[in-house]
Amino acid sequence: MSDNAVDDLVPRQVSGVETEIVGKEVLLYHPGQTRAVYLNPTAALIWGLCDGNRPVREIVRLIGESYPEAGNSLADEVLTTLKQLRENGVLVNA
Amino acid sequence: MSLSTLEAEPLSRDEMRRKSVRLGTSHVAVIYPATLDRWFDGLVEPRIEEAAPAKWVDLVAIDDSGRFAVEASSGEGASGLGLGEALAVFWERVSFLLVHDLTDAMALHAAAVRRNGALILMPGASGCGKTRLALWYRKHGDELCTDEVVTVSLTTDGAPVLADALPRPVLLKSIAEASAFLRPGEQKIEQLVSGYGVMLGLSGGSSHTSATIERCLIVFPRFAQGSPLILTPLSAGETAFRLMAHCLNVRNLPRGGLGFARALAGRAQALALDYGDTAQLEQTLDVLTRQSLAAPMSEEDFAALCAAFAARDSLRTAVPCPPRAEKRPVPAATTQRFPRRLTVGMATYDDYDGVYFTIQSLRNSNPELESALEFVVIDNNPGSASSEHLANLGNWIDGYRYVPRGEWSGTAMRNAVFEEASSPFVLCIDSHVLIVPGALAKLIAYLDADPSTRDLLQGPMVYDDLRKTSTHFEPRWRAGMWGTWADDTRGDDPTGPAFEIPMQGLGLFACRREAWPGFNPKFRGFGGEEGYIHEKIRQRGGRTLCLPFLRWIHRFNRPAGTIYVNLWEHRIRNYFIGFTELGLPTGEMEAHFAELLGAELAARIFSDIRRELNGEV
Repeated sequence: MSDNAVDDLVPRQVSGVETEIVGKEVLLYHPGQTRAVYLNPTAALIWGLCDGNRPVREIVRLIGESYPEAGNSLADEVLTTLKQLRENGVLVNA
Repeated sequence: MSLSTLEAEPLSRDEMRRKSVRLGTSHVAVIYPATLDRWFDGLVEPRIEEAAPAKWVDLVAIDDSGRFAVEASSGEGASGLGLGEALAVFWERVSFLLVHDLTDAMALHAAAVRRNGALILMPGASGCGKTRLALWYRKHGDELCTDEVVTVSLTTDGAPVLADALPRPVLLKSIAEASAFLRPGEQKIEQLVSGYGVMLGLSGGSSHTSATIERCLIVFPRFAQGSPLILTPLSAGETAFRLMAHCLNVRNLPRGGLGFARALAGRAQALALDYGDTAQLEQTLDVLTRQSLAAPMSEEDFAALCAAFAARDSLRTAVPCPPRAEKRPVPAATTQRFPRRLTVGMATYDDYDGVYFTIQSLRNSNPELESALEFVVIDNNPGSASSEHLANLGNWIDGYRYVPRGEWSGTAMRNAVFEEASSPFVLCIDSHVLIVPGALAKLIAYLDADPSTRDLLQGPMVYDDLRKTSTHFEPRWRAGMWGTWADDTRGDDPTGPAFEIPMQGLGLFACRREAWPGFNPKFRGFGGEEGYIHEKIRQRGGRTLCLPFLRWIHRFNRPAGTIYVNLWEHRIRNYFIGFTELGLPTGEMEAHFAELLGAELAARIFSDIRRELNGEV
């Protein structure tokens, strides 16, 4: 898939996934897979932006505004996080 | 202490006990031969009468050969087992049945001990070392609840309660060390060896009463023979996640047990423990446990304690000194001096990379100062693999001096920076510090404007996120250090005026060469200098100032480990010498180390120091 195609994807949280906020961290529980997922503060921020309306490029931009010092590696880190969330079954493309 | 190994005995199939094993609201009906009472006494309850028990496990003798069979209401039966295997399988089946339909409490695969009403929880998979750790705590006087399963429920207002703990004989995976876990003078220990490990019948058995969890330490153990001690503090989120990973009845709980895990994590401090020998836990985990359970501690303090104890252990195992590489010729000291406007100096111990990048980043960021700076590098491990390369930097760096000084190592070696400096002002930095662009020029301008200053000049330390800063140390004891990182908002603006601070970490400091008071020459090893040198400056009429523009970044992490020897004894000795020199009271310091290390060890260290300083040794 080309970079542009990835940027246009609109990630959405899988319905039914339980969320527990612990300070700036988030725990997710997928009942169907009896799987828990831990999100550190940055991943929690990304998770919160996956509302089924924002494309990936918008999420990268918003995270970049929160972490201006992160530089060019930020987009890769956001994409990696989104990929991991998909692999854990808690995120799908809208 | 006595150990006895049981042999299977011929049994009559007629003499059977009918009992129940209970865990919270769940119970299992059990049957076993009366001749095995010593393996069940204190662990089972009178049979709960019911017409047809829904959950049951039977342990029966097959014949007079000493072989057994285990059958259960769920799961395959097992037959032809020796007694050790039979007991292990029996309790495995019982554990499964007790938790698999439990809905009103979170069942955790965890060992647990109690200490004066506080709870120490050790969740982990089979073979991770939780039984070993629980027995180590027990040997130190704690009350063993279980080495296998606990249940945690919630009160109506959401507070976590240790609802129950599974009673069963302790099962150690390692055969060789069983006797090492008995309490001093402990009697009547029974032991069964099987392919599952060593089953121990401990005197006193295990006990439990349901109680709200007010004080709790959660330790996630990971044992591997020979592993170094690593104590990793965990956030509340990480703790809750790990608890869920060791939950045995996730499917039964609302929201997968998220609420239980969060409630428990919120009441506890937690760490991941890697260890390779229980000897590593002495004076480390026991002290950390005592501190953690004694009073609420901030996450920062807890993390600092974990770091301090892990460092202490790694260095303790490194004493006397790690294997040294073959000594090489010591390069000659640079004889030429470079009296310029400012000397930037550092003492280093095998940190060529740090020296290289620290100096080159200064030159790269401040090309206009090329002729204004002298660099002095004190090689505190001359003849090491780094030495020749450190000396050779002088071939390319203008104003560079290499000085080998290996007669002893430690923090006071930074005196040599001032001794070897040729400029009127000296900026002394660690060999792994970066300084923000432009700061050196401003420092030189500041010093030019106050050429007779007696002050110690420092600046905000910037963390790796390049945002957060610490402008100073608050003068209080924490985790074996005098001083705690703190931040003053007056340091937020790099263009702001200088302001006085009580003390600061000594990764970077500047002083007029002639005004430098010097570290006490009796200092050895590392630690003890912060606070001491600041007070010494004050006693000589100077101040410690934070210059907001003088921002620096310090590399804390050492993935390859520290090479130099760093001991509590050195640190305490330096504090003691420094405080004594300056006429400061030592009572608070002695009380702190007594609390941190235990009164006995601290008293021995202080006694040794006093004897040394009195010339008795």
